[in-house]
Amino acid sequence: MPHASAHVLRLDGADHILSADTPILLLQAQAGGAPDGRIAVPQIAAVARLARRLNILIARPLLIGGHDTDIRLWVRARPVAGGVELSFSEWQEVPHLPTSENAALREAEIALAAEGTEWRTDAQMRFLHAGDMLGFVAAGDEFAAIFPESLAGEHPLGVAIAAHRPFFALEARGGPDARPIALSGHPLFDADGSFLGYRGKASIVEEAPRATAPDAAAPSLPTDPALPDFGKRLDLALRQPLTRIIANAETIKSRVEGPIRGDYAAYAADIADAGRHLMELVDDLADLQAIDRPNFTVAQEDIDLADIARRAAGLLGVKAADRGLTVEAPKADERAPAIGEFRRALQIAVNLLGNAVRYSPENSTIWLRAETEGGVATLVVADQGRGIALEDQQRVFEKFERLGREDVSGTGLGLYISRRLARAMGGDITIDSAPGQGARFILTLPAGSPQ
Amino acid sequence: MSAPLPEENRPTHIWYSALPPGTVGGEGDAMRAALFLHRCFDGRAMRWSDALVARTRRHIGGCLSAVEMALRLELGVEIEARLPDVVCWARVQADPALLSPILLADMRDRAAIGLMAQDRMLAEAVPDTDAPPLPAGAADLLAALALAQSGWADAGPDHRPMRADLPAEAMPELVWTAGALLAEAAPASDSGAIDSACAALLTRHDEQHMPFAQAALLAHRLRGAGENPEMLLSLARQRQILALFAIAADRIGLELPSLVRHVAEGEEQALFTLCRAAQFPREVAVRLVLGRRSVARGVDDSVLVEYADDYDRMTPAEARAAVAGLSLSAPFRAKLAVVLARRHMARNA
Repeated sequence: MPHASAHVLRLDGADHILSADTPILLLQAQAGGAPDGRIAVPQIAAVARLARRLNILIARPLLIGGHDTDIRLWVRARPVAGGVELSFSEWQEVPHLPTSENAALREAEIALAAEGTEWRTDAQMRFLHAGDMLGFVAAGDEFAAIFPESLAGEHPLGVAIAAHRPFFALEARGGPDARPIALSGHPLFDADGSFLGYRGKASIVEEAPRATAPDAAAPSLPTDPALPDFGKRLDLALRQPLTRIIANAETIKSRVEGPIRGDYAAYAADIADAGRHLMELVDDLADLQAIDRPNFTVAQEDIDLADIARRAAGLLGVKAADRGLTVEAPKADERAPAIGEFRRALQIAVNLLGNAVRYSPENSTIWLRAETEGGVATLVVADQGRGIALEDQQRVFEKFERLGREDVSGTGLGLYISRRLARAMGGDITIDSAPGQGARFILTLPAGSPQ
Repeated sequence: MSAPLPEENRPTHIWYSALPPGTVGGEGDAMRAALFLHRCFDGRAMRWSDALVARTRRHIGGCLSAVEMALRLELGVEIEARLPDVVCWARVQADPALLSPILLADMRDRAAIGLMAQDRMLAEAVPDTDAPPLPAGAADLLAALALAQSGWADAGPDHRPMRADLPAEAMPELVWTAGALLAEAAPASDSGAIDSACAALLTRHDEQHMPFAQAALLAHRLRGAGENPEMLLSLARQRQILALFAIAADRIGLELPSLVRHVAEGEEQALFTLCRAAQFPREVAVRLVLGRRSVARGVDDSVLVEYADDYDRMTPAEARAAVAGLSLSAPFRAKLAVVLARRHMARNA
């Protein structure tokens, strides 16, 4: 949306909005600020502060980061009595560069991280936003100031950021108590290839005593009250090393560091695939341990199954495209209100869609349909695969059941976990299928209130 | 021409350059000061040219004199009559440390662009008749930039006023320094009036009419209109250094002052890398590098030819990765510079 005319924003001496034109208020809302509150867009706040501090008119380009699109504009900030008057012109919306296959997979891995809070920085590595887990971070804070310890030692985080490389589960110490935090992030670029900053996830690293580290290799995991934090310990023991293995193997496979022989790249691809398979198993085992716990509960949130279906389609879009599959997700204006835990519902949707992608014939179509009717919200994942015989339809929900198919990846735990999660949320997963006619997996949840 | 620097002197240059002095802190500051002195006085390959040193002095003297003149006009005839004829430039010549390293670096960068804009190697003698039409709103900015560059190339006496078209961050220091020097030379009763005159001068300073901001605005508009290689070549032939640097900064995601500082303080190969990252045509890069030879002593011509030959072999992605560090914030780069320098020192210990 090119804006020919200038839009005006007036701030008082403490950066509170006195008046603002609508496009500026939209930016303020996207940054989580109130229309009459303190300006929440860090780049604008920084220019206003500079103009006030120097008591001089500032004029320069500004880049305001968004999720899919960034806005480049021109700002003039003039100090006036009791505040600053800013005018914005020359607006340009710059879509992010379409992510490559590897980048999309890495993004999906980060988005699917079992735990963590999202964060985003601009090109100067100043935080644009950070989730609750990074409550000590304010918009505009320098990344280097928040995580200083990682930069002063031998940690590769700073070097990865300087080279605009993705990083996975790298530990840094940050916050008032210098707690260890695992950071994953991938660089963002616009359509011109210009660096826009990083988006990533952060999670607190539990420092478990070494003596009680679990035997993570054990395939069966009986619930043991002596190991209440097994999932987190599993994360410490396996998930983080695995993410490094996958990331490094991907780096070698992509020849990012330089040319290598083709067969070596193929080995690296095998390592990455095997690592990803192990990661799925680790995730499933951790979930299994969690849902088998007697006190397992899920949150009751207002969620939208249509939105969840669209997100799942976005996350697995690259994998589907690799196999020539078309995924038809609900349209942007469709809604299917439901009650459940957002993260768990997304996990189920990704599992169902992932199975459909895995078992569908190439160049076929997968449909995602979501609706709410009669007190029940429904998400249907339908494919054109070979279908499931009636006598097998209950077996697929059993642990480690793969219906004799050993030629594909997967742990055999996904549907078992998904159905347990659906039932914990007051819903269920059922199948409607016959051999040769594809399969329809139906997730039902209690209906939410239409807003 | 002297030989290129030994390889061990190269790896960390990207972190030191483009950092304003004073941002590193502690031992880092000492390191920067040592580098600055080394570049000014050491006889090795990266020494700044005598022309740049002289032209930097010209910019300091000219801008200071312009501000002094504006302050005198603001103060009025009565106070002005009580002041000695020339105050600021004479006082700063006697004690250059009155100006901060950041302001000195700003002056040096302007001087470097002025030198490059007047370098004969950069422009062709033939008129540029095939220049593509400019998008609306760009022609006026280009004319303003050409005018500014010609002002920066002025080789008059040091004390002759030169337009103080400085960025917002640098202008207050220049004005307040000039004001303090005038107040020192005036009766104490005039200090209040001088204070007010400085404030009035700063209130009228509009950064949008300053060359760095105009160049950034030009790059912003050209991005929206879609630049093309012919236009870049035309800009190079017209010696539009600031415009080319602004386009490069915009494409790479750098702030323009950081890029200019890196050009002034970095090596010729670094300028090639910046141009490649910005996907400039090879000819534009070569013209810029040749133009920069008036700023600092460079590598042998044979090495320069090798750099130019390597230009097309380097992919834009590789070049972008090589300059990625420059797009980070100054504090972040400063921290990394310290980390890398300490590791380097530990290895050599």
